[in-house]
Amino acid sequence: MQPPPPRQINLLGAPDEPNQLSLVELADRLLNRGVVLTGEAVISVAGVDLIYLGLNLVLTAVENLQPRQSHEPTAARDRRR
Amino acid sequence: MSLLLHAIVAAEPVAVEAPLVRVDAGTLSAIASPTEVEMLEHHTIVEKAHATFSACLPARYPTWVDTSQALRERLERREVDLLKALERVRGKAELAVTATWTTSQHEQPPLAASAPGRRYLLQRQREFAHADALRRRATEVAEQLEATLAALAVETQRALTPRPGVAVSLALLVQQRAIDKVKAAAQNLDEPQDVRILVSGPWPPYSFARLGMGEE
Repeated sequence: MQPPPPRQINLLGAPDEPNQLSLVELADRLLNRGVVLTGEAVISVAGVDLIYLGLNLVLTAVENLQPRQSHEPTAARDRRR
Repeated sequence: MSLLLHAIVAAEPVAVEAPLVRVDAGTLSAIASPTEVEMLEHHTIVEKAHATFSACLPARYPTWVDTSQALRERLERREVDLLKALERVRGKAELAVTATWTTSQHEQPPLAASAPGRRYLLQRQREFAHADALRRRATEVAEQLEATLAALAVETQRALTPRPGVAVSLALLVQQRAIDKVKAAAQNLDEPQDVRILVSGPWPPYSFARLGMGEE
């Protein structure tokens, strides 16, 4: 006898049954609510939350994401060694 | 050793089972795992902590802290806010009341406009008008739910059209001893024709565990 196919759970989109709804609510609670120990800030305009910033994330300009050595002259790196 | 934080609780003489660890800081304790645990396992641990301790703040998943010393320092640094938040949820649990639309909110006849630019603008206009109408109706539904439930709960949080298919999501902070009464009241609400009302919980107070604006 073949085992029953695994039940597919869709955590996104519209819930169509109570169990699925509970899973969506669970995921929402675990990932979006609860205490944030590292600090938090909500930027809002007229009471509507625009962006949620976890302050434990490092916000950086795109150019700062480049490896530092690619911006530095070779001589400067060598002097530090 | 990194720790995955599960909950912050009132410091009470309760031992936690290995591999869970408990980090104490004054009148606060944190329950954490030294290894990664999956989302549902985290929820189970939070539920047990909520059932065991008199006050429990679930942590957002996943919250990692580098060491137990770092965790202790964070507890100490935010002790005032955390104690205030623990008092808010002490002896209480969360109930979720969700109103889902009973009819599809997306089926609309195709637009007759022939020019693509005009069709695009008409489509956008129709989408905005539809979203506004949904939100207005969701507000009416929320007010109808709250008219009965708000007086039975300690606090209420409302989210209008939070997801496709959902009109209103209410989180109710309820005294533990009143859970059955509030749940029965929510389940016996008159359902408007266009929504179905679903009640879930009791949950640990995830929606009421937020601190004030961060100080770090």
